[in-house]
Amino acid sequence: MNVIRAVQLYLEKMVADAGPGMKMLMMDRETTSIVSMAFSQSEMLQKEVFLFERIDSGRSNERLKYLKCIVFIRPTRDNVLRLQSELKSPKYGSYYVHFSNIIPRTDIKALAESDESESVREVKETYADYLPVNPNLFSLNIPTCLQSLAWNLDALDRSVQGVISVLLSFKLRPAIRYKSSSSAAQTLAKKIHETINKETALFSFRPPEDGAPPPLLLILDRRDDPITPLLNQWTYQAMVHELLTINKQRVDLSDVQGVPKDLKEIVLSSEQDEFFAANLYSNFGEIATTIKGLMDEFQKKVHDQKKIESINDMKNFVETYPQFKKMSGTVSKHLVLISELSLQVSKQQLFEVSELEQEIACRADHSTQLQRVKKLIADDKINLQNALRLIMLYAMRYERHANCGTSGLLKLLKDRGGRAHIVPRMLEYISTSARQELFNTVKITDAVKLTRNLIKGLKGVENVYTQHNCVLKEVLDDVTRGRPLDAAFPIMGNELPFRRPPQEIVVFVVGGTTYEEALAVHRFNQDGFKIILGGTTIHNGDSFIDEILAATAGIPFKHSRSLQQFHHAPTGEA
Amino acid sequence: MSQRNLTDLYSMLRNNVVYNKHLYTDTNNSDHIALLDHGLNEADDPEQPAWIRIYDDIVCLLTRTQTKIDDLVHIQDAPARLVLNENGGDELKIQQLSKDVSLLLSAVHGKIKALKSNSRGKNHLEIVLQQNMEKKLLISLKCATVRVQQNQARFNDNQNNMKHNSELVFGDLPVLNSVDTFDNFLNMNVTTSSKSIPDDNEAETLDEYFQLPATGLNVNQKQLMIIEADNSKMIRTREYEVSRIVDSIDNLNVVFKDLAHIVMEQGTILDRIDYNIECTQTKIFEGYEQLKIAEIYQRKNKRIYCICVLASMIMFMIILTMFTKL
Repeated sequence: MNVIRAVQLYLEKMVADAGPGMKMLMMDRETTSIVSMAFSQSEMLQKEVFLFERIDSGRSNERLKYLKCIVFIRPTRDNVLRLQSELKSPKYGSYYVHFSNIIPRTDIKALAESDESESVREVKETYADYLPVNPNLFSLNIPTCLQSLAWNLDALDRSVQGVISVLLSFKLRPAIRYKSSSSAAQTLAKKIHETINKETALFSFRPPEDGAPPPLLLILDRRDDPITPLLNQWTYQAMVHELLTINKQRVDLSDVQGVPKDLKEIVLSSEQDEFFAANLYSNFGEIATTIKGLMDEFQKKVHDQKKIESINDMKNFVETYPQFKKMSGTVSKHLVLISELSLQVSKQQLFEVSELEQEIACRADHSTQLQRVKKLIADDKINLQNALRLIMLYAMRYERHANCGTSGLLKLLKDRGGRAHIVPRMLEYISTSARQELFNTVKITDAVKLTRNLIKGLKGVENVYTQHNCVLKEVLDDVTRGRPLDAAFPIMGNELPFRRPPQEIVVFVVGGTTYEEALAVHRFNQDGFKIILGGTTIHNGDSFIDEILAATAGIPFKHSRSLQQFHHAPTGEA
Repeated sequence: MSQRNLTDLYSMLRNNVVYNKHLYTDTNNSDHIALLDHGLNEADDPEQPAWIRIYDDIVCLLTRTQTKIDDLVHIQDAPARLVLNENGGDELKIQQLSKDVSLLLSAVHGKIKALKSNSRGKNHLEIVLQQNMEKKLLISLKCATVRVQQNQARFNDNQNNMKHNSELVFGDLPVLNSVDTFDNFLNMNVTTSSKSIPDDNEAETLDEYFQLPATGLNVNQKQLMIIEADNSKMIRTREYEVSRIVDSIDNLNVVFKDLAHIVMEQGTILDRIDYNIECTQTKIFEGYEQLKIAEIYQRKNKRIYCICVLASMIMFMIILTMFTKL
């Protein structure tokens, strides 16, 4: 179950279907991202695909009749219209049309009517309709999916299509479980269930062997775990995303000072960059040592390259030069990244901030934590972004506390010019189940949880910066151990629940997932499970705050009446 | 990995459309006209530029090279060789094959150069197409060369090991092995090896001739003449060899420059499909903007304006003179 491999296989098949000869690939905005995350341009060139074009933007009308055109587009209305006009005056010799999802029959009819020159050779549905980020992680790149805490309809359609295409890529016909308290998750589950039942022909895979439980599609809601995206991360990929933002495997470094010109924008792909693939999940300390090792190796190589005395040396040089060149590229790229990360860490005093964040997320100790938050917020070295996050965490944790000091903290933040109006919005965003469960306000009746917490407390903490466990991890723990799920995660439809844990699990988080959760899934997969994680997008702190603002726009304030003075943004700010 | 094929449905729908159209419109067209139309379309269709033929050639050559390399690897890796070392058949085959491979590789490189020097396409798309194609060919060439090199290195190591072992076993029996010669190093695109061996032999015999007069003191003029003639012949062959090696080094240099460039590009932002598409788009947009500016300039062409003003003034003058003089 490797999403990158799945998309690659689809693309390989697509190109192979078109046969030998020169080909070009026509895509739309989203499929372009999908293709480029799976293959690099030189890999596509090796498959004799020489031209890449977007169907939805200004194109010249040069005719190249000797090219085969592979069309890979999403089945949207606009795309079909554009393809129709293309087929009316075809520029290329033959067309091999692939839609990335289920396409209505009427659209096919419309296409057939406009194909007067009969240049279409093939029409297929190829279900690569998601962005493969890591082998176990996919995203749909929907930045904001909720509107007044209910689904934005476009986002809902896209999510249904995305999840369906993931299921089809792996030939899964799953049992669908959803978070019972979340209406968004329920709506999505219902829609997916309907689609599966409508397209029974597509989903008629070989049934699992006798007694084997069916795969599981688990739909969660970000509103149940609003803490994870707010914490500062210490694993490589997550850190880069938090501090520099990864956008479809690309990192923009043009704002960073002292970066050589050819590294203004870099690619972090686990497919093409072995070093990155190996260190995706290593933490900041480990990565520093590995990069030091890499540097040493590199310097040794440089030394070796310098002495060329005999013909044998020359021969070796010629043989190793390409690898050497590649290595030097990798070294300089990661060195730039790491140095920028460590600069940011010391500038923003992330060690201190992160320790307190983890502390608030994991333990209840009101008075000391309030003191520390106050101290950090007053500190000019802590930037407003981090101050805001600390207050958000504090406000969520101690919302019901008798001496809740949120408004005092917000006043401090406002005086420094921070965006204090986000905090009440945040309190509206989080769901009731998050309120009840997240901060371990355990009732005495819940004995199992209580003992588990006790054991956890006795064990102590290995690393203060990574002590927080995301909700997803606990849920997956329950799932893989076969604990009863029916109360919190009911099954969609009238399928009989299986007692035994499923072999394959697809998790989809409405409202976006995070790299911390990807790490949790990775750990499970190392233990031999087959789990794929996906989300409407992949959040870091900033994008999550944007999502909160979009999701809570225009809803009445219910939970945060006491913070009335902060409800509205100061004029001139959104 | 499921897929759904809708081609049948599509062609059915398309046939329906075509059928319907012909049912109602095509009644008064005679066969001639249909044929004529068809002929016209055919003539219009094949507009292949010349470089496509070269491309096809290169692809063909590359596949041939690949099969040859496969053969070579197969033979060199065959464990039977270790046992039947005395059997010269394999040696000959290997020599023949590696010669073929190096010939093919240099041929491919030559063709790629030819393709590069070929006239560029007329329009933007075609230029991009050609560039990408060259890149692809160079990468394939690189892969092939690297494979040959690595294979050769491994083979040489094996041979060395074997030589070492056999020396251990057979004492100081002279073992002929031409592993560390310059020819082997340039193996990738020099046509040397077996071809140069007879030359070398000749040269060696010549050397022996050359040393003769030192021992034999009673040499007459005729013999000297013969020796001199041989000598000059030998020098010529040597010179030829040397110039060929220089050529091949030159060639190598060019190939490696090309390849190094490609290696640098791989894995960077330049190798991203979406980045390249964005670049093309911004370029097209910039071109469009410049066109617009050019159009504005064209419109307020000052010269025409000036001419108009002057012309009207002249007219006015003429009329004025007409009125004043008449």
